[in-house]
Amino acid sequence: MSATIDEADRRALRVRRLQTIITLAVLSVMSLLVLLPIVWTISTSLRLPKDSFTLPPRWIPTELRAQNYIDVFNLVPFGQFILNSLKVTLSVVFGQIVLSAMAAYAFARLRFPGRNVLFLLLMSALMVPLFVTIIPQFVIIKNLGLNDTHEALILPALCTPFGVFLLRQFFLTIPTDLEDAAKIDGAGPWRIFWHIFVPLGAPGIAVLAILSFNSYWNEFFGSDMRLSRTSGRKDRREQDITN
Amino acid sequence: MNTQDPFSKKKESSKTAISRRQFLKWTAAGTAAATLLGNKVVRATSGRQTTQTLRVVLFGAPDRAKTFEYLGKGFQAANPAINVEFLGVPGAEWDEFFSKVSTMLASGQNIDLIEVGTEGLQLFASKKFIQPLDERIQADKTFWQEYFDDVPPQLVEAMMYDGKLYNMPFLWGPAVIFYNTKLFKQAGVQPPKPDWTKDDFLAAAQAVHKLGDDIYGFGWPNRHWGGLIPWVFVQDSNILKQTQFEGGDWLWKTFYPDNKTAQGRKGGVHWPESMANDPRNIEALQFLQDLTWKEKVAPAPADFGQLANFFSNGKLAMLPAHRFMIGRLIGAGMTRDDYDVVFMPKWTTQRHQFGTSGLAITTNTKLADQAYEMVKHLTRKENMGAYVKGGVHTSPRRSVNNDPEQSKAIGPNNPTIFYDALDKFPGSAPIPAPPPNKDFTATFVKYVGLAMSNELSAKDALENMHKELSVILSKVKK
Amino acid sequence: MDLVPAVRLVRKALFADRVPRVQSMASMRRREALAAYLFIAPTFIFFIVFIAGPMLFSLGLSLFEWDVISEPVFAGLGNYQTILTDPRILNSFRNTGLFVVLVLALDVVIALGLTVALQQKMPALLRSFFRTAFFVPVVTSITSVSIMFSFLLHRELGIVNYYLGQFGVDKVPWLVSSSWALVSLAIVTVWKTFGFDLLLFIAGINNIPRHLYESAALDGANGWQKFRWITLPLLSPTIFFVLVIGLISNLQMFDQSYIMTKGGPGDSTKTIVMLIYEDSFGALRLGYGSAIAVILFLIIFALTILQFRFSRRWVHYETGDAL
Repeated sequence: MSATIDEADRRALRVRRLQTIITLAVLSVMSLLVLLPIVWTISTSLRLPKDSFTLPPRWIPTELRAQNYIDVFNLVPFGQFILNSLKVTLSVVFGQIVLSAMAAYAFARLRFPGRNVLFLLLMSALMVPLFVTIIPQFVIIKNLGLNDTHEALILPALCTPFGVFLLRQFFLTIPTDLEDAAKIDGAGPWRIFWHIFVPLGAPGIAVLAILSFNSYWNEFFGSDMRLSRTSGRKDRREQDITN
Repeated sequence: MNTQDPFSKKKESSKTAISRRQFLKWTAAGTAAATLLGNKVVRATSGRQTTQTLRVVLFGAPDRAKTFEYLGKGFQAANPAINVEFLGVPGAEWDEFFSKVSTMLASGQNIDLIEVGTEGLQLFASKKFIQPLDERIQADKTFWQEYFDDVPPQLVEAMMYDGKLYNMPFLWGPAVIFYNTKLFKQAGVQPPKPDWTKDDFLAAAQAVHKLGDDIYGFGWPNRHWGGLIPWVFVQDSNILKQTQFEGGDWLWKTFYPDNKTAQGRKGGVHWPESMANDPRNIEALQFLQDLTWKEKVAPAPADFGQLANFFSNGKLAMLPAHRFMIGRLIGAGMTRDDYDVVFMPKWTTQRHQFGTSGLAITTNTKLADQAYEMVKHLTRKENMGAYVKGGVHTSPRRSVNNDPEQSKAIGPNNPTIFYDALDKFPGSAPIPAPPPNKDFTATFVKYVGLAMSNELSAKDALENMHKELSVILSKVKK
Repeated sequence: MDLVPAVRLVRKALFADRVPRVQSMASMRRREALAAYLFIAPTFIFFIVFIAGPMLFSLGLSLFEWDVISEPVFAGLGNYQTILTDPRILNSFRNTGLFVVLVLALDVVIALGLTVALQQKMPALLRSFFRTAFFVPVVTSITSVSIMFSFLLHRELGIVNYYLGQFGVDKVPWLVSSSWALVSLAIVTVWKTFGFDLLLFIAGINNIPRHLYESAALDGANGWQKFRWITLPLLSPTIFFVLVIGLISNLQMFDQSYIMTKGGPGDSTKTIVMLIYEDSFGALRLGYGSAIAVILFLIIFALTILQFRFSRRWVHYETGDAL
């Protein structure tokens, strides 16, 4: 009796171990496929171009050349760009989180007339390519007298339907027991939002923050880098457009 | 502690979280408010609004910043009442540059002076976006004589439209062949003579490819300038029929009275209809197609960045380019001995295609006179020389181009070759660039691409191209 | 022992009197609606000023012909009529649609598969490594990625074909064949974006209470059944989000195509947004470009509404319905 049980156990153990090995193999292969292009790019950036496109590819550069990076630093006033881009990006990210979390909570949990219509209206903003709206946006900013300022970059970015949608879906997965209990305590919507949804929604908010920071940083930092200006004015909006 | 109980645990963490969050929030809000106020205050007292700003838009990359600074300083010294702003708009192609410029225009931004290339001249001139310079030049003959003496007539003609001159050539480039001297030596190929033929070219490419499976004889980009068109030209043909606009005689009489190449030129180049399906063009495209699919000496068409990389890595022996490629090769780590430049190989003729660009004054500018002063400033020999230093581009001024200082460190060994492509071959002409240039380029690149991916024969590709181009050109007024 | 009901009972007992009676139902609802409007107000203010305004401007512009340099010329519905007979439009819609289907299918399958794989027992450090590795492409810029892959996927001199050659596979014309180009762009896009979906799926799966799996195991459910009947339904709001956002953003794909293939070869990768951009700013036909943008918008809008309608059948929210 005990012999067959042991055998069955051993077989089950083997199956599970095989499963583990296969799973780990798949994960390793996938992460390799994902990381290799990036490793190649980094290794290329540390070499002279003339040494970079050999076949078979040399993954580890034989002589490191940080000069490429130094050249970039010398080419443009890096420090200033970083500070400006950081300021603008952080403002955008912070503003987006506040606005989206509030709106997301309302769409996820509050009942009000026109909820669905307004939500779809907001989503419709995602359905237009950026450069279609960027010109009239620029005209509006000019008319508001915000030309040439950081606000010109920050303000249009504060409304983020993507952020609202993301956080709404996230908030929808939070169980209702908590707010039911809070409501019974007499808590109003703001309390519930602040004390329940914001803390529990922290992972979603973190994701939004990372993605937002990333995309705006790429946009602002990259566009700064690629344009040269000699008058030293901070004509950001144009740089944005001409990118 | 029961982790399932959300109440107790959450309440605690949220309490501390709130205070932290609240703190952050107020700090951020405070900073934002300070910045807003700070900004406004600075603006009100800067007094910058009193000087006029001359905005010059150039096709440029960030590494031109120092050059712009240098150019700007010289101008401001002579014209202190004007604030100059150079804007270098990057782009891989001219039409990318124009797209960005038109975005700027659409948002109501002001541009006074703009670099316009062959690819956009007829479009902007026909839409009256830029203004002719005829009167100003006629009133300033003594100043300009020196310039015209230094610039070949073909370049000037390319910047004329419908009898008027719109800008003074500032940059240009013929498509000539760059070759990798090391690879040629390894393959036992003699340095090409100036009158080498298309068969010599093919033989060289084949010899190099024998060096290795991943070493190719020739690479080229499928684009408007430097793609199929150089080969069409050496077949003494063109994609569009080339004729002339009337007018402009005053220019040739005044500034090029004894110049043989200038004889017969008039008011600009005109491309009224397509001749894409000409048998000579089919032969040219077939040749390129065979290089990739039959002879296997050429890889799939790539862009200039990739070509420069492959070339400098010793994977590619030849490519078509002009002086801008030198800057890239040196930057990639090559030395002046690693490459050399030779004419396009001779087929029926050896005429070269080129593109050129210059600075045009916009029609809507309020600072036309100052813009004109800037044109005069920028076209001075020393400024044009500074602009192309380091192999950044080719200068329309013969004196700059052939100046040994420009080629001492970086080569090529025969720096006059870019000029000679015009001087020795009077038939050399600009790439065809009619007013609907974007549509022309899109159609052109599309069908060449289909031929190069072997999905269409050269004949079918050009027949289809011809049909579409005819429709596009039929919509042009005049 | 579950404390929550106990606590709730106690609080009800202590504070039940606080809650007023029936006649305040309406006023409660009014208060809730008011609060809701206040919550969405900041977002909507910016929406109206910076988004709705420009969108209406584009709509208006679609009724004109404007070459940016001269004055706009009124054209009525002329642009729309031209669209009906423009073969490039149908071609771009076909390309873009195919692209979206490819990307969404690959993305969801790969992200889900890897999410489940990551549930495997392994040292926490290893799990973090995998998660981070998969997320790295998400924070790269699409422009740099496109340039990078243009090199990697070059037919003769790219690394991918080199390694494939080592395995005896012929050189694949990734970016220079009409049949492959779109697929290559889809693969690159998936490479860049699946990490984000993976992150969302992981967060979603972590929200699923362990005891559900445990009781299912006790009932004799195998791996696939647990996935099909527990994971999938409880993950459905996240999957829904991924599909909606994926559809909306991939239908507007531009960068990859513009940088890697320029719409070629032969227009096989010309997306709708590329067409809009090239017509508007390259050929200076802003009115026409705006008209195409309006059509694209209507299509995306209709598809999104369909997705929301259809979602009632397969998306399960904890609290019941959402839309």
